[in-house]
Amino acid sequence: MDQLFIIKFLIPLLWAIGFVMAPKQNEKAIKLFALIGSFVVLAYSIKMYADLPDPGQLTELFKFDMPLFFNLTYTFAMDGLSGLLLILNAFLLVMVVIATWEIKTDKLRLYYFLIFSLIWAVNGSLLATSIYGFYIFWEAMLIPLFILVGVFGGENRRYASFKFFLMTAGGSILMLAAMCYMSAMAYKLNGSYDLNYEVIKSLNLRYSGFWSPQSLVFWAFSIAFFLKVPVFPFHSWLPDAHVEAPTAGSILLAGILLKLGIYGFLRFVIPVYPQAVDAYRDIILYLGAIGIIYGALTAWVQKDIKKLVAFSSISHMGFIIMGVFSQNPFAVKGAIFQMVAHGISTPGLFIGVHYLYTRTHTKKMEMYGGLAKVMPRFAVLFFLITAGSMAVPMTCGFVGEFMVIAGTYEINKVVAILAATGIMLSPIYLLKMYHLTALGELHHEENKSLSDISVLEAAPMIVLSVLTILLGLYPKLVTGMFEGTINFFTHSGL
Amino acid sequence: MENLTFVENILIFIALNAAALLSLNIKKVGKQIAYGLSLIAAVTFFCMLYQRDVFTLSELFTLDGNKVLLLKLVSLLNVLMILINGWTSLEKVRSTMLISYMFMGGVFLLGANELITFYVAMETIALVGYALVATSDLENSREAAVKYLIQGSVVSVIFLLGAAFYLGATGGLSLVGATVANQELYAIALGIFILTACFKLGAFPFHAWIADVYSNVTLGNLAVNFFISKIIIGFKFITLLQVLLLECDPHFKDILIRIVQVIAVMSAFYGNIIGIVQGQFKRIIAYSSVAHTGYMLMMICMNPDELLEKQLISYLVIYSMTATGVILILNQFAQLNENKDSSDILKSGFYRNKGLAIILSVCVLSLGGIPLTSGFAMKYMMFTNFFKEGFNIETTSIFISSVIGLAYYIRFVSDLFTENEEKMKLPTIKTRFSESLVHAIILLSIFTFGIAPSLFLGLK
Repeated sequence: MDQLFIIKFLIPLLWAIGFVMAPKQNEKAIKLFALIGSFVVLAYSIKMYADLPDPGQLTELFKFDMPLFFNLTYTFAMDGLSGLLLILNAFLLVMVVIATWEIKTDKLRLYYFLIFSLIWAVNGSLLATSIYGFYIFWEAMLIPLFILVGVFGGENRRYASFKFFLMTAGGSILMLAAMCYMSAMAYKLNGSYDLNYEVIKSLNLRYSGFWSPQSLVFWAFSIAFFLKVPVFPFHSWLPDAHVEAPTAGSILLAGILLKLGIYGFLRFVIPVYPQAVDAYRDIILYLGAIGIIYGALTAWVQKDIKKLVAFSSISHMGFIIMGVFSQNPFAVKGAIFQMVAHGISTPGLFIGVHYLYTRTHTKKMEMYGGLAKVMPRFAVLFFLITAGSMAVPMTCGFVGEFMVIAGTYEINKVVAILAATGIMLSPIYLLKMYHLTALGELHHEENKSLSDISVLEAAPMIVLSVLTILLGLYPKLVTGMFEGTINFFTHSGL
Repeated sequence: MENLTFVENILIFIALNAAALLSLNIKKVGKQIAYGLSLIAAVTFFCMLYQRDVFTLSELFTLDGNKVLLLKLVSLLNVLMILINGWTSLEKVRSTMLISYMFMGGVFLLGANELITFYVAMETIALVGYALVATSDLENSREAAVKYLIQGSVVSVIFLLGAAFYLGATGGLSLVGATVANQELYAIALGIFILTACFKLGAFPFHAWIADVYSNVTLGNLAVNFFISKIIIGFKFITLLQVLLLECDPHFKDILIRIVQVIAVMSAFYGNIIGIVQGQFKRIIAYSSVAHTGYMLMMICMNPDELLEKQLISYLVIYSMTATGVILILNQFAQLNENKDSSDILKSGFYRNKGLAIILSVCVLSLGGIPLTSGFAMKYMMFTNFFKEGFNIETTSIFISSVIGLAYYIRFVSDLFTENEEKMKLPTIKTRFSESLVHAIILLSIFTFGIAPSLFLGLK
């Protein structure tokens, strides 16, 4: 057990509290404090991963009994997958701080407080291996994001934050219902409400059709995770949330929060309810494939660039859910890789959109056009990231999607073929986006005076572009981090 | 005080409140004296409860075990409510005294061991309830009070009919150790008692009074309704029906339990769905209360158990305290708005008083069942119990209904953080010391119960 775990774990929260106490007037100091904090979080996340004795196994980091909370035990543990996502989370925090460095708000302390609290809650979800711990952090994530969107978002932020909170919290209530049910079963069996992996396994929930306990618990968890991912048809909150969220919210939402739904499936559903997973695999595979096509087609017709990126997320997340549920090791590996790839490319697109918006004050693509002439640096970097998102070979997007489709093909050919059409559709809408933005003539007079992105602004896009290419050429850099865990997520890992 | 009997303490309580009532006629300082006397009476009674663990008057009245525990909590809340009510206006002092009488009714209801004491105590609470509505001095207060009185009277008569059936079935009116001679009559009696409980607690379809009463009563009086009516009447009815159902024929018992479950689920759905479409926040609270009554009623279906009683107490107290917190803060926000009942009084609340907005958000999120708040712990405890009893479909249905309920809770929070220029121009909301004290207690209770529920009331 890591004796310093609690300190490391609490760093983002302590940093968040630090913002509350920071002097209001000194904006620069607050931003610097945020930057240092983001690097500290990244450093300890990498260190925690590096300290793992075997990334293929769950290593217990900290365990504490909660005799005052229904006598439950909270366990924090980490393996290659959670470590990888932990690093992605911290990395995105750095990106957020740098990309929104020029943010103008009189509530700067609240802004950073919410971001660091959100990062902390995500870390908590990733490290918790008892369902209660996971649930608590899962819910804790909602509040900072709800306020972030509600306070710092666009014109319709109230509606968007409301819808986001309601739908995701609604799903969580179903998860809570399943937890209560399992707790009741555990209490009958062991005289304790505790729900760690061993206890869940010992419950041996019966599967004998839709109305059997395992099936119902499976669906309760699945709907909560479907809403988070989001999987078609549970996606309606995402475009609104993305469009209205401030850039930081969009980056974190697309970069890490959506992945938490997938992580939930990998950690708490697939290894725990194998029969239900087998029984409903095809349904979920089809939902994934529909999501890919629906997201792509809907993205195609968007005029708002942020909405286009939001729908592209739905399409990309379809690949991930498909890969995970195909239960083919190659596809699962591809799906996890795709989580990282999407966590690089989509935040990159959102950062690009942020730079466009801060200069033109519009998200309508028809108002852009020909920007490569006045913003060449931006145009090059934005293209590289767009290429990653459209899964161009030798970019990270290609590796993940290819692995998912190839792996799924062995399980369900129809679904794999349907998903492959998504790969064909993504260049259509993403190239359309790029074309309308950067290429062509500079029609709008006001755009002629736009300034290119500064070195500071370019920094996150450069890092993301480099990663897009690097992971496309050498995916093992990421796959090697979680390879040993695949067995756990494809078979009954318990 | 240690040497005083329970009866003497009760008499002192009544005498002090009677003196308070009389002193209202004194010019200039009358309301201060009345307020002081009521406060002394409440504090004295609260202290008396710590003298012994059991208070027995006769076979008709016993306060012991969890009942004393509950009374201590309610008594403390009573003192706090009097403190927060203050002596600034005659209306508030008057309602303080009415609260005291309602509290007295609650004490007798809690200890009642037979149906006549039960009935008289219940009517005392109801009569004060009618008076609190009627004296609220809002536009439709009297109309609401009359409606409430008429419906309440009908239910009282029905309850008496139930008592008659009970007499016929058991040969007596005692609620303890009765032998059932006629199961049919007994089942009818229990059915009528369930109906009365549903009316008193505002469960669907006996909730018709609740929205009118809630929207035509001052917020202070509404808060009182929560901590006395909900807690004491809720606890007494639920525990009583649990015990009485034990003696019931299994066939009838099954039917009665099924009826309770249907009412519980319907209440949860009805309250949550109708709550969403309400324009006035008082009506939102009213329908939220209908939904919570649904959750609560499910407890009737469980076998009596001391631990379960403690869990019920914790649920009732925490729910009532949190709801009271919401009401009190809403009251503060409402005072500076033209339309005090409008649901937009909270808009931009965060920019007018950050502390209040955060406390209100915490209270509302707790009612919605967000983890680390008492609402989550209580919901988790209660629903796990229901699952343990095998009420899977009913519990899942209630869970689904609570998803709907989240919508109006979140609306409160969403309003608070909305930037509305007109509302932001309104003056900053000031908080009195007594109000801050109550807020602090409510906040503390939300987090302590949320983080360490097992610390209290034997929850394990």
